[in-house]
Amino acid sequence: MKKVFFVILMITLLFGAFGFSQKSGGTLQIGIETEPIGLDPHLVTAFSSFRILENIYDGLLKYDENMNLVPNIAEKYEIPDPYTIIFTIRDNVYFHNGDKLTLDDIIFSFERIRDKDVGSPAATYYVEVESISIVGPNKIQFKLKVPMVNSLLPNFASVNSAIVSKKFVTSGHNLQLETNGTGPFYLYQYMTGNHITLNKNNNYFISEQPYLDKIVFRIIPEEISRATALRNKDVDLIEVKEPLTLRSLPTNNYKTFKKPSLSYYLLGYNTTREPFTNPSIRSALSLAINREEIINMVAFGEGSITGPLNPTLKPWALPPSSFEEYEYNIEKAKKILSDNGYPNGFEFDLVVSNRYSLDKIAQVIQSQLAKINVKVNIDLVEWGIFISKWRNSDFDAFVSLNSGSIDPDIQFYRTFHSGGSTNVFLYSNPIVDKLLQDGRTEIDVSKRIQIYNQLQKILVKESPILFLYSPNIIYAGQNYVEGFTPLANESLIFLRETWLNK
Amino acid sequence: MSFTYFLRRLLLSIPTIFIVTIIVFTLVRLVPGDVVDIIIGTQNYLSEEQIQKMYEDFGLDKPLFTQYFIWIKSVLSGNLGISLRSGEDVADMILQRLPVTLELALLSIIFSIILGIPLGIVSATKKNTPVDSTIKVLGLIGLSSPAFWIGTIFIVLVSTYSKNFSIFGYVPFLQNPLKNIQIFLLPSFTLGLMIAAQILRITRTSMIETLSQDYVKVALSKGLKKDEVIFKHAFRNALIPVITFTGIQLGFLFGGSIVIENMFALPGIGRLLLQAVNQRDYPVIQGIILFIVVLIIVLNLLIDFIYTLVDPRVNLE
Repeated sequence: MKKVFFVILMITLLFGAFGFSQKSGGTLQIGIETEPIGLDPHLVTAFSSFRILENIYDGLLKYDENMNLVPNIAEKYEIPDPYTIIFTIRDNVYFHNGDKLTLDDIIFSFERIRDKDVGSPAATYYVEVESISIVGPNKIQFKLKVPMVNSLLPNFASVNSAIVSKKFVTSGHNLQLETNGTGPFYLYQYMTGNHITLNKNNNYFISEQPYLDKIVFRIIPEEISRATALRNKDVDLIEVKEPLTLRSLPTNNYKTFKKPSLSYYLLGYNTTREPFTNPSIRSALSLAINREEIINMVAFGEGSITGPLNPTLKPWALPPSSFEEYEYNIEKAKKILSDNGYPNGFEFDLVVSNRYSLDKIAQVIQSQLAKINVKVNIDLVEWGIFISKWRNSDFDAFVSLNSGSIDPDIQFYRTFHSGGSTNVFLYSNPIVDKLLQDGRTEIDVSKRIQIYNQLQKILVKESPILFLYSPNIIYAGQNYVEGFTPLANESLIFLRETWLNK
Repeated sequence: MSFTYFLRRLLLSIPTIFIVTIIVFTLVRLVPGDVVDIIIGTQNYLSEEQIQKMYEDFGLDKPLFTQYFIWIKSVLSGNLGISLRSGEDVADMILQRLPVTLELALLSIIFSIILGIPLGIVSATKKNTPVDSTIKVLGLIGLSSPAFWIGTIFIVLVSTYSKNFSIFGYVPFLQNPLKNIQIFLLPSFTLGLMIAAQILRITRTSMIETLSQDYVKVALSKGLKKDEVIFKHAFRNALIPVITFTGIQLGFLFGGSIVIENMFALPGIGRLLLQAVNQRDYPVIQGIILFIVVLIIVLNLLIDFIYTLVDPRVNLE
């Protein structure tokens, strides 16, 4: 009797296990906030486009769950010297229209990115590339003018560096409207304003992936509507922008998927306007702003304090606690203000928009700075106006959200180098410029770490911007959604490994 | 109604449309922040050269005057232009979204008529009674509650008490009529409520006025039944201002349903317009507004035409 029972138990377990490992099939409905703006991977700049396109197109490299670079279309890469990268390309990659990917397509893709007439934002990544050539039956070599292989590599995982089909593009197809990638899914239907349906690419180069037959991205702009759609089972997974929403989704009924993001909120100063010309004044404000409180009040705890580099970025980041300017000390802040000629505080305008909760952060900052007699006038403007003011450095200070990067060079160079493309603070410091240049070209990793450590300390001391916090990326889904994980750069690349356990 | 009258009206609408194009074109560009700003965002990876090239590609480097003429010339040849962001044809974009907004607008109007006119009549005939007061208070609530608030209440109520009721996920009517109607039920009811409140008030006022007219009194004193007098004689005349109002509302619903379309994730024209404004996608904004203006003008003509049917005394010569 016991034996029979045992056999039955084993069979049940076996079936159970088998049923559980059934990862294929099904349609995942996902509620997203914004729809893509254009579909040409080499031209788009919007996050909303990236998230769709990264499932349709592939780059030579991609990120794994922990934001490590791993091979994708390239099955491996070598760095024989700091000027050279050699990619070995997989042999079994096909475009969605059935054409086999060739080395020519790869060369064409990078030529297209670098072509001035195309106007790709990624062109600037590859400025220092001297030549791209075929060096073997399945090998492509990038030769650089300067030894900056380290900071170039992450760009190969960007949607802006996706591989397109030479034949498809040159035969006159408009990539903004049509797609032909090598990714795990192909674009089946795009009903603007409503939904985007991606179907499984049966010819994907990783044979068992993707698991889903179909992904339907439903565009639902309002947060409350997205949460309702999840509750009514209109969708299986939603993007959560306001952590408060989680309170209306009990954890025993729904799953949450969270990741600390690389993006960071910042308070930026116009370093050419009084009194922010004085670094001491800027760092005094750092002492008076309680960032923990901002996270609790604005993000309901869904975020973490950050220094110039996200604390998860090892080995680059110095922990936020290591900066003495980032302790909370009102008395010290008041003393610095009075030592620098502002015993009664001062007044300034803080430009914000209502996107990304920037306005809420500004309100908390306003009340915190009032404690050191600094009066903040919040200038709440529409997003387009915000960007216009931002671009023209037309502000005393502003609050914004920036995307980070896994390599410090990508994040720092454009932000803090004199005349850098996002240096709207008009910050200029020859020592910082020198360090940025050295960090970019240094080959020895341990020396590079030294350089960026020094840089981080200067940036906190001088505070052209105050790094506030990194918000968590949050998705909520039905209990049967398995295998999904958001990445720190907000990528949805893991949809190819997502499946429905129902 | 004569053909010449219509022709005259049509000719008169040409300068109107022309003036509107100038106003729209100028206003849209007066707003700070342009399309290139929005593309760059706060993550500027572009070089100054690339930015300059973008302005050239979009034709935004030319003087405003020239830009206007290029646009109006292409509109006159039947081409509304191409979206600066997605590269789609603007006319196609509008046509694709049109059925959604049209359905929403029509259903809202139907809801508002079904609710507004009978309540208005009841309210007028029972003037100064508790029934009248109750209806008036309801109307006031409808008038003063913003659509987004009513919409939110509906969404929350439905999601709490009827979990199987699908609120989101628009499908075209021909693809799945039942689901389509279900999706439209809440948003059109939300919009309909607001318009119903106004129709109610107009019907009431107009009906009270008509009922006080001599011919109604005569009809009643002749011994005709009250119901007959109300519906056969007074109702028709009282309807004229209601028709005017409803017609104009239909026009406004095309541009004014932005909030509701956004809230209920309906892919209509209102949402397209909102998105285009957010992205400063000039050709799309201009195209949609031009479309709505022309639509309102045409609707006005139609309303005048319906007058003559309802009230033969109205002469449009």
